[in-house]
Amino acid sequence: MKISKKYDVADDSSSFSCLPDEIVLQILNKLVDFKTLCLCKLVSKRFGRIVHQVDTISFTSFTHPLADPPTEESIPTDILASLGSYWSAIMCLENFGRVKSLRIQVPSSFDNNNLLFKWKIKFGIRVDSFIFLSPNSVFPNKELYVNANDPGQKVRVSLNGEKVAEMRNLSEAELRKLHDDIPDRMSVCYVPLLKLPVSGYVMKGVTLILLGKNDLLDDIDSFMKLDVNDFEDKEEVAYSEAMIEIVKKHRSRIMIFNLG
Amino acid sequence: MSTSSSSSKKIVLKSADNETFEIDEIVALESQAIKNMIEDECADNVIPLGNIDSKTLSKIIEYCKKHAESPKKDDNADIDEKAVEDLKSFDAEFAKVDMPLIQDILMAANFLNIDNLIGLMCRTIADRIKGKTPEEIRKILNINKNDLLSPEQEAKAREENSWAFD
Repeated sequence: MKISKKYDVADDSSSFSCLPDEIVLQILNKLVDFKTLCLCKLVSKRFGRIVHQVDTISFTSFTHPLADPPTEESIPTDILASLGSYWSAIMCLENFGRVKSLRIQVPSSFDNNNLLFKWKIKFGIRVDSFIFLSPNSVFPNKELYVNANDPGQKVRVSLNGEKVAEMRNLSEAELRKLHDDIPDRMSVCYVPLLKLPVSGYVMKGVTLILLGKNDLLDDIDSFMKLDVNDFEDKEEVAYSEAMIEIVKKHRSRIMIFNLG
Repeated sequence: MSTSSSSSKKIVLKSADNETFEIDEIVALESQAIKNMIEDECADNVIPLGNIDSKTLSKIIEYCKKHAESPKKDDNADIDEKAVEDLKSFDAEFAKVDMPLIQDILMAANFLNIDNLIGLMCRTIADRIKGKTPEEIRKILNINKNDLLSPEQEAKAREENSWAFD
């Protein structure tokens, strides 16, 4: 492989164009922010081609999709129109066919924008597991007892699987199989106070619900890898750490139900 | 196992502008490409790197030295918090260079196959373009003018992604 060196940076031919596609994809994969990803489509033809291959997207909407709630008389097109930019963002999402991890955050209430409803999906050819983690409150550790302002209820839902993409092209038989594959075991746990040393957060009143086919609880290490450098934000780390802490240290509180 | 004599073995790298750098073999091994060359015994005393200039190469050696002397995460289950923090702040300082040099380092790191450094440079570029407009991103990365969208394509893409301009 020959790398041509540019000693003159003012040279019109960009050294960026010398970077191979897989490196450009690696850069775009680290963007995560859906808005920037969509704007990248306009940067150049090459960006537009590569950006659709990213595997991780996080979309945050600061206005509620139904900020202007439809009335009973609304006709469906009005409802779509009222979704406005939220709807057009979701349409853009369709072009990203290789997404393995998608996180969407929208305000959970019309009146209080502090409240966030959080969920996260990891797709697979089938759904291996489903996680719902909901603390009543989350505090950065050092602010715990001085912060009187409740940051609000955070709800987090995750679905985990193996691969993506194929999901789009499933035949009817495969879809039926998918249906048969629904998780058969549910674990529920409530922990009043959870200290998270790695991420430095404290959560109060945490509810964890796990749905899985295989016994997730015994396989927590391979299932959730806690690498602080891997996550895009600190809160993300806190949620993952919370799950691991509960499974490792509050095992006795977990109630298991067989659904089959 | 390496003997004591081979642990102090030196490797000489030669840049495109004919500057030579003598480094410990352990530092050179941070590069998977050089490691393969050494293991296959096809590396001479001097490894010529005809596509990497001395400015870029000295930065890369600085990075490899630091990372070679830091304890590896998988060496010990007890992660040394201080060493991790130290390496993190080194990486942050290391990345504070201008975009042309970042791109040169990235290209060379890709050629030398130094995974951590590729990751660091990609993350740095991503951080610098996050939240920027398409025009700003083009300027930051010095995107080749021949690769721009046609006015029609641009108008269509703007329409489809209008929400992102709010």
